[in-house]
Amino acid sequence: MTKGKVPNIVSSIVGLCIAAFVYFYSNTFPKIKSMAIGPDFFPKMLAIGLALMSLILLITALTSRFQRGFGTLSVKDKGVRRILICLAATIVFAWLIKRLGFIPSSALYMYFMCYVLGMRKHIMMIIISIAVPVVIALSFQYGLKIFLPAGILESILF
Amino acid sequence: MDWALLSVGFSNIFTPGVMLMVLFGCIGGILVGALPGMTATMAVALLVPFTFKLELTHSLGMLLGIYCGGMYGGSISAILIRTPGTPAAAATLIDGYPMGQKGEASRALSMSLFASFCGGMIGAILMTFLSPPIAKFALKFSNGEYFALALFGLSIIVSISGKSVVKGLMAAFFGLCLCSIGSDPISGYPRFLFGQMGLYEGPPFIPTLIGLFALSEVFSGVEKILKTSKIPKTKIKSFPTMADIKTCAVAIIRSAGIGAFIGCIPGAGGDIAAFVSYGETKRYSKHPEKFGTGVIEGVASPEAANNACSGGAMIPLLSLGVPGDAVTAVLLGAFTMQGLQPGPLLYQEHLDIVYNVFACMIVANICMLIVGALGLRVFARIITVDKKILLPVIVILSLVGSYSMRNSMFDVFVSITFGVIGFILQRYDFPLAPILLSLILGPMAESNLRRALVKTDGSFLGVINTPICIVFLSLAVFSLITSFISQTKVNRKMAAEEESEAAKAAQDAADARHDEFTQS
Repeated sequence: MTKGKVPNIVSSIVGLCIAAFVYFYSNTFPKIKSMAIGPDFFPKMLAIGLALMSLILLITALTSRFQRGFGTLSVKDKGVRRILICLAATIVFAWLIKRLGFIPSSALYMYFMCYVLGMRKHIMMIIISIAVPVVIALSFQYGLKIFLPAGILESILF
Repeated sequence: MDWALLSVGFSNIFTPGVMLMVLFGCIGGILVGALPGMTATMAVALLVPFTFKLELTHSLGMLLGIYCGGMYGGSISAILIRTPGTPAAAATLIDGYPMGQKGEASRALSMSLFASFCGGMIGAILMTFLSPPIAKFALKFSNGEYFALALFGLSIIVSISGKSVVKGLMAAFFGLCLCSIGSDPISGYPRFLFGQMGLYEGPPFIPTLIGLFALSEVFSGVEKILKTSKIPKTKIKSFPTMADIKTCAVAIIRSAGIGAFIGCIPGAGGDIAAFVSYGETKRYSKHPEKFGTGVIEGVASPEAANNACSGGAMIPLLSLGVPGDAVTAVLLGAFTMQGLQPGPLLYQEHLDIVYNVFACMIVANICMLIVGALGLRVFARIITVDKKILLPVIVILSLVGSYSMRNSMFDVFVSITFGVIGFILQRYDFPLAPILLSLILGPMAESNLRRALVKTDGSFLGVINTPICIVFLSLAVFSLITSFISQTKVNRKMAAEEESEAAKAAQDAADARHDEFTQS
């Protein structure tokens, strides 16, 4: 495990960068003549607060004797690779919802994720992948009157 | 207080037709409230059309059943899958979810139900007896008072910051910066939109909440899927043990009082009440360092507060015609559809209906207890489902919940983005609860401060010089200082323990190497 020092230093630098961005971007907001306090007031105050806290974290990270370590986020780690695959699959799933429709895209996503997570009972996976999205879609449509995207099913069935 | 009218109210409610409506309302409210992304407000809004053709008393029964059930239902998904079904249950997951992971889901769920019932009953009784005088007090709240209330709520952040106060405050400021996204509350100028009109009203709250808490936890679960030990099955109990009730009794009563008080302030909802009561319970606890690791009081206090808030929120609705929170805003519309005009005239012209509401609220809480207890065995089984199936289902439900608020795919991608942000923040020990609290209170703080400053021509002292402001600000300063001192003591103690463990481990390793050397 890496020591806590480096991640804390990086976190504080990221905090300072966010604070600086918010502060200087707020300068582009127009001044309103009729108001002493304009739209830039609150973001600037918050940016100063964030910068202050980030500085305290930075000083603490540099001077503190003992700091808790964190796990790494290295691509070499199998767990991290699984997360990246899961994230990519989730983004593709979200992109496909409107195009393919909720039920087909959810079925594909469900099967893929069960496989990535280590399930190998294919018959069970197929059944669950079809049943879960259908139940969710019907519950939302008939129970809550919320219609999920039908996608290609709409052109096929109607 | 008219006891005769109250008994007539109860007799009107205890009819088969009305009781059936209360039952349907509770079941519908719990189910919808438990779904991630489906708030209690949405539950009421979705089910209101069913009440249009009903008689007034039947309609009241159903609406109040949905309200009570929805406020409790949010805790189910908060405890089981770390996704609060309603924003008001966000504080419940801080201790509820860890309890579930330790195999104590049934204990957490039963206490959540019991605390919700107690809080709801206390809120309903307070509503019945204190409605007129509290409504007069709530009228005195102006912009300065709301700002001071928001600051008091934000001062709770220190107590929910976990191990590092500085990181908690950084997370809070980050959350407040997120609140700056969207149109300026006074001038309407669009800030930090970067061309995305979906951000015009600010980062969508429910998708952000789902991303930060649910999706980040899914990513964490995916990483550890092979290392996760199975959650032990425990005996399902519908009611908490006497020992747990004794442990939580004071916290429940105090939190219910806080919830009812905050509920009757228009615009301050169950989510604020839940966090404030959680912070106070932690402050008064003998073991504050255990909060966040799965402590029963950490579940009881926010649930008591958010359900008591429902009774409190009815007070300004009935006596002033001003809704106490988003749900009562929808109820106001429902009452109007039924030909009622909540407000001072309601007490003069339809006092019998007011007492029907009081009786209905009390009965709805009892119904919620019964329905919740019967359903508990089903709910607690959910987390024993294989994680390889449960994790993708949580993602699908989360994305559907994010989509259904505005029928917008933009919200789905916002949810995924915050899922990644939440995962990285948690990895490096940044707590997420302060971000959530800031998202709730930030807009309230900014809009009320700016309006107050406009009224006082930019004088900040002019904003905070009323007695109510001074009380809230003093409470905020007191809360910050005491929380900071106790947090520092706890952190020093934990750091000393970790140092001695690390030294012991190093000594053991050195001894082992020495033994190996002498043997060779």
